[in-house]
Amino acid sequence: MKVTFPHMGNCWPAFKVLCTGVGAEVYLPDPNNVKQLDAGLKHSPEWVCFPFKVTLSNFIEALDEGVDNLVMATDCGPCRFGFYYAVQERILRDLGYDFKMYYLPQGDLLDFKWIKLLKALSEDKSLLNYFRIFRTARLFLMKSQLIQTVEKLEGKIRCYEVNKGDTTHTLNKCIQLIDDANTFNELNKLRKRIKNEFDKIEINKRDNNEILKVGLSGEIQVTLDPFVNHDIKRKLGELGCEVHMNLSLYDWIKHKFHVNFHRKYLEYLNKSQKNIGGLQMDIGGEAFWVMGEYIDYAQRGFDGFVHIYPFTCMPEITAKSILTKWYGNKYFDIPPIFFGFDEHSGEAGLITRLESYVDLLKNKKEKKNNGNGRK
Amino acid sequence: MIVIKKRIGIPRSLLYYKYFPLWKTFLEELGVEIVLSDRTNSKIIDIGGRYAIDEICIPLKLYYGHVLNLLEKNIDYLFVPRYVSTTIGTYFCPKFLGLPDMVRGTIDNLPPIIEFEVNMQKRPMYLSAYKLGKVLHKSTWQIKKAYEKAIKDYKYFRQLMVDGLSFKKALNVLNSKNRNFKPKKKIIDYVAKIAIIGHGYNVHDSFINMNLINKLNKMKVNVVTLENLPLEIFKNQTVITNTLENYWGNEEEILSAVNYLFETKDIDGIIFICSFCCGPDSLIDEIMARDAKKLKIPYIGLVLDEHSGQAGVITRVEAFVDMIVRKKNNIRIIYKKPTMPIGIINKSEKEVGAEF
Ligand code: SF4
Ligand code: SF4
Repeated sequence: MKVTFPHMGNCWPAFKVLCTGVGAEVYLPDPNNVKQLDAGLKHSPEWVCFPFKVTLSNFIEALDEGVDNLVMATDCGPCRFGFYYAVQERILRDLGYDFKMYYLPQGDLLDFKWIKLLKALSEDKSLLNYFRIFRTARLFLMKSQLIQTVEKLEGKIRCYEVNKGDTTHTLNKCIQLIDDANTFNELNKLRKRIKNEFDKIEINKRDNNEILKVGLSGEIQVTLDPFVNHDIKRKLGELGCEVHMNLSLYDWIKHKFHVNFHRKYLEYLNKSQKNIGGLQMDIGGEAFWVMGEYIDYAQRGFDGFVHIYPFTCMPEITAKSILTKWYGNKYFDIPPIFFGFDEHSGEAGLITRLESYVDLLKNKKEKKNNGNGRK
Repeated sequence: MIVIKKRIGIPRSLLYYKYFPLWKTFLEELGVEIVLSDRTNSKIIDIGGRYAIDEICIPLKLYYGHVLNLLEKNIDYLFVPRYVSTTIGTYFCPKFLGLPDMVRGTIDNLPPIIEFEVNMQKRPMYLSAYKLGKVLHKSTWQIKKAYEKAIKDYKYFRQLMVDGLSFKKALNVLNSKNRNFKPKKKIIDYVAKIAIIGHGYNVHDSFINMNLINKLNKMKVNVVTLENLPLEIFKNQTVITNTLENYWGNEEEILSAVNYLFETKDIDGIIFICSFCCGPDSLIDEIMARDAKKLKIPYIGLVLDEHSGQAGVITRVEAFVDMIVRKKNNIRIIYKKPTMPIGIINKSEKEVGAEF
């Protein structure tokens, strides 16, 4: 059985092992690119959120290659994500493709509905299969954890690199290593190896006062996929910002297993700001935690906060409205910047805005440093 | 002793167009005075648009406008409901879920906000009402009585609309306290029967939809809104595909209504009104348009935004009505000629349908 799944940045090794682990063959769509996107744009509803269009184009590419099993994650509300697979199935069928759509219910992973998917993907029907399924799930978790490690290191190290491009190179290398390792033992060893690889990057440690610390957060697909967000993380790094990002696939999975205590803390932060409009409940997307992150970063004295989301994304726009006002009213002293992405967002505009934002942060920091010096 | 009633402001926007009768009776029975914001006008759109960030959907921009309008009216409390879900397994759009937070977070100098959280996932409706009543310092007995009356009134109101009244007229009847009103069935000659489907705040707010219903009436079109359809059709959850049940509360009604119309075919055309940048509508519009095309029922989606020119929308609607009328006459003529083999009728119908 040949299956495919849509891309979400560097997360593909984890999704891949989920399919190969139970014995399915995987077709990996090309990393998202402009050409591929065309097909998705043509057949998507006009102003649906961007991830819909991107994932649809992944599927179209795979179907054209002759794959006939698609896997898509889904949710149970309140946002549009839960509708993705159904509407996509409808669109693709109307286009005349013949395929089977599998969906991965991830609204609450503790209900173990995902086992059903894995069972359906493997053709083996024996009882022994359950061992395979749990082994696969564990491999998936380990891989996604490693990917998280890599991505975190990447964000923090890039601004110090001496030779431009080293970090990106190491990142790609590590992702490949994660994909190649397929036993627990190998993966355990990789943990050290990844650290070593990043240690090898030649760096130029600068004074703490010079480096800008920036938090990055936003809707998950946009934040994790460098094609969709025009590689904003790299751009920030190259402009001299240390990028901190807690969001990752692993973070999300942990949350869905109800063991993500960092997110619980963020929720608490949000709720404690009730008087000035902290969100009181999860309204879909990442809005609840994005706002928590903002408060957290502000309290930890970060210099900036970047919030990215797909254009028209409902929860994130709610968060954006409130955050804009918070900074305007000086409740928190950390300037946020917002980027909405869709097929029309150009790279040039993004760079200009980022540059002026970083300048602003620099000035602010200088003033603060000088002020401290005088005291 | 003069009892000074507390003045509670309710923005005439969003779920006002659905649940206002319920809130009104409940709050009035609890002895508060209700202050409504003005009807939507260009000033409200203006200040709302200036206050909100660009990307937000117009209904929310209007909400800002209405709240700001209320702030000028000397109110003691502001009523901002948080509708999360009204049946188990459904949710409202994320913006409703965060509405009180958004208002609190973005508007300065607010009076205290009265939140009315309806979340069937967590607690039944009457407990939400109880909580609201307690905020106003009322006794359990008073709350119980008010709640029962409110539910009764709301049911009566819905029945009035099922009997064919428009939102505004039904509200007037409710205000008149006459509980034996029987709407007369007017028999008028109409050229087509068209359903206007969409969120209440788009369909019943005649300013934002450019008085569409009246304009259609003038074209001798019999207009049906989803509230005019029988109540039973909203009971079951709509199925999108065999693996997905719809989970949006507002869209549930829209989908049920449209499916009902698709099934009975008792309609000549469907106009779906949605606002630019609306999340849920972007997807269900796609589904309904595809279904309509398959069933060859004329269907257009009208997208409203604050810059949408009157003229453009009206031309589109006129063309749509013309097309329907032409199609109806066409079919009738063909029907009168029994010599025509049936296959050809289908074919010509297909061509008409292909315009959409
Ligand atoms: S969170 Fe945003 S991107 Fe995701 S489904 Fe909702 S609207 Fe779309
Ligand atoms: S349902 Fe659509 S129009 Fe209504 S608030 Fe949500 S996004 Fe806006």
